Amino acid sequence: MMKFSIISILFVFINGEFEMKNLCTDRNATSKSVIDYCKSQNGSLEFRCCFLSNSTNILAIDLTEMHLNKVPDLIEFTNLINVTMMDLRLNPQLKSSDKDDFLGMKYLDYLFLPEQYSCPGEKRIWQVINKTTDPIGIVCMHQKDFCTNSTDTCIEPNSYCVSNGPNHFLCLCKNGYYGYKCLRYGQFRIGIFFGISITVTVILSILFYVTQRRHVKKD
Amino acid sequence: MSTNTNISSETDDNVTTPLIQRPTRHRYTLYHLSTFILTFVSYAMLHAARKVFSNVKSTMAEEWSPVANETIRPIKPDNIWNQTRLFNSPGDATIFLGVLDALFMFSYAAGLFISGIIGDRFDLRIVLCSGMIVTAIVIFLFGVLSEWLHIYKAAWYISFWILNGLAQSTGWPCVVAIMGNCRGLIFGIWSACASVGNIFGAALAASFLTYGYEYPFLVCTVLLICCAIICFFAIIPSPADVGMEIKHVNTSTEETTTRVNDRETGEETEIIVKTSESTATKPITFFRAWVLPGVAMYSLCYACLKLVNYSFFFWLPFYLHAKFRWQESDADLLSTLYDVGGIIGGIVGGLISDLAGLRSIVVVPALLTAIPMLFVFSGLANDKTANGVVMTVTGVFIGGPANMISAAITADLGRQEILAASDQALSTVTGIVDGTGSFGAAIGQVLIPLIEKRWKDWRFVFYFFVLMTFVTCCCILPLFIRECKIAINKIKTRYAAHRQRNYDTI
Repeated sequence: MMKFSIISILFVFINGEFEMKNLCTDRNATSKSVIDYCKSQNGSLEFRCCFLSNSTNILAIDLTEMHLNKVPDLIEFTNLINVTMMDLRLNPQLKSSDKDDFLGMKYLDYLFLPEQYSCPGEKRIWQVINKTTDPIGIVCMHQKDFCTNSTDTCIEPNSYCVSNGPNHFLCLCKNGYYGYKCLRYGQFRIGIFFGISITVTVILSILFYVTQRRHVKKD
Repeated sequence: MSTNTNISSETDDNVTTPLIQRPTRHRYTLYHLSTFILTFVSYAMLHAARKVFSNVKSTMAEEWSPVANETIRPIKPDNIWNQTRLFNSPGDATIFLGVLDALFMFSYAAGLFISGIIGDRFDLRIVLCSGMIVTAIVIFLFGVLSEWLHIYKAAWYISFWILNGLAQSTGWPCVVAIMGNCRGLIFGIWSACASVGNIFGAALAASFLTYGYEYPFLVCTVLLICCAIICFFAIIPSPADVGMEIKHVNTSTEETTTRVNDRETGEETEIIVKTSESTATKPITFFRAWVLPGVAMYSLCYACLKLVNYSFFFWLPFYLHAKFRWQESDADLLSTLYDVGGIIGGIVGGLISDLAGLRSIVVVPALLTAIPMLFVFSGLANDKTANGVVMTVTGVFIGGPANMISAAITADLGRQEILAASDQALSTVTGIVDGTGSFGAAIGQVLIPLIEKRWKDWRFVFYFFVLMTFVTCCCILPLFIRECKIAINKIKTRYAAHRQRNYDTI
């Protein structure tokens, strides 16, 4: 029983490791856009992924024909954080889930999508949307800043909008504000407060005692 | 007091009863001044702690819940906007805070009865100081520790707020009893301490809220402890403790046994009116305090009046926000104006009734004037100045009598001649009157949202206030009629004496 559990845990770990690497090390990149882009940026192609020379973060990734059901997210694949080009065509089972897709991919400038998946946010978010023929799909180019182009962003007071990927935004606290819901501002000076109150208390107590209660007759 | 001795000029001409204990000569000493200031500040501080809670409520509701989902897009990041600490929405939190308020009022009312009894049996100074310290500790645990340690539990808040109600109830009976022992002081001005406490609490909340809602609580805690320490070293509960004579005007200097027929309670009491020396004082029993003439009647009357006063004061910002969509800060400012009106009304009413020697002839007309003011207020348009003015005037005519009853009249009841001079009754009587009043206020806290929900119109709430004010007047109507007769007689006799003097000089 123990052996079984240990082996299964080990298997999960290894699988996890493989998960990370699986994105890149499936086969060589075939998407022409990714290959050309990688060359133009002086990056090095490692199977599907294009890396810049001094970074472990993926610059461009070719995810065509991976039988993906959902878009890979940053929680699982942290090195996608700076990805600039992503090719998701030829994934007929890819389904969109607006809430999480592409969350955090602030630098995503070229997004190739299969034809059943429309550009997140459409023309509000992307400057150029075109159809592609080889392979068949859609290309969304050049993310617009979400905050300047949308009306319903950070309505809570003391917060400002910051873009966080296509069709995503964060409301961060303005300068000086902090805490839950940015409700707090400034620091309470505990030292000064206690110092003053203790001093005043001692002085007044002594003063009053000397003038008042000392005369109390105990009976 | 005019309630007990019906030895008015109709029945007995020998005994001229001053209807309010007015010392023949005021001698203000340093003790009087320090007692005035210390009791004033102590009770103001206790009241401020209550007001702080009212003003930070909306911030607490925000801190306890995630952002209300008004837009389609949820706001990220979650750790800033979407923690469900205690409730699912600020609306739920607000309901819970309303429940906390009602619980506080009920425990405060119950505590008042108990504290009144305790105050007459133990050293007032010790009861007051320990009450303040317990309040300070409870407030710290309720508001400060729970935020610093992120303990967001409903049971925690409920139990400590109930304890707060019990601890705070020690304040009022003790300070009134201490002030009552120091006779000859200006009760009207002193009775403004509650309203001053409210204003101070509002200021505290406004100043320290930006640092986080727990900081107003922290400041209150520290200030309460400091006050308690200073009071412990400073307050002299009774001038007798330092050997000052008690300024006590007695009804007559003869030793007579007179049969007094008290029309209102229907009992015949035999009182021995004598010059009194301060003998060993013994505390009155709870039930004897209830049957003292005037106590039951004023208690009921105060229950209705405090219902109006408290509910008005408490629900006012909410009403203004709901009807006119005012900002919280504006609404709070307006309720401060109501407080200011209460201060003015209490002072002026207290002074006038001190001079006239009769209390209810000031209270009843003031309340009757308040009724049309309530109607006016319910129909006002969205104009800040108009609302402010009407608010202040309403405060004068409702808050004023409320202050008067809770302070001056209660003190009169607790020092009336029907008590043998050795009876310690002031604290118990204060506890009874204010306890009944607070029960009324607590019931009001529960009724108001029910009324508003049932009829969906705030005007019905105002009609309810008008009804309660009217009931208040009815409660003291017998007393009012009696005092009117006395007043008329006084004027007649004075006019006759004046004419006589004129004839003599001719």
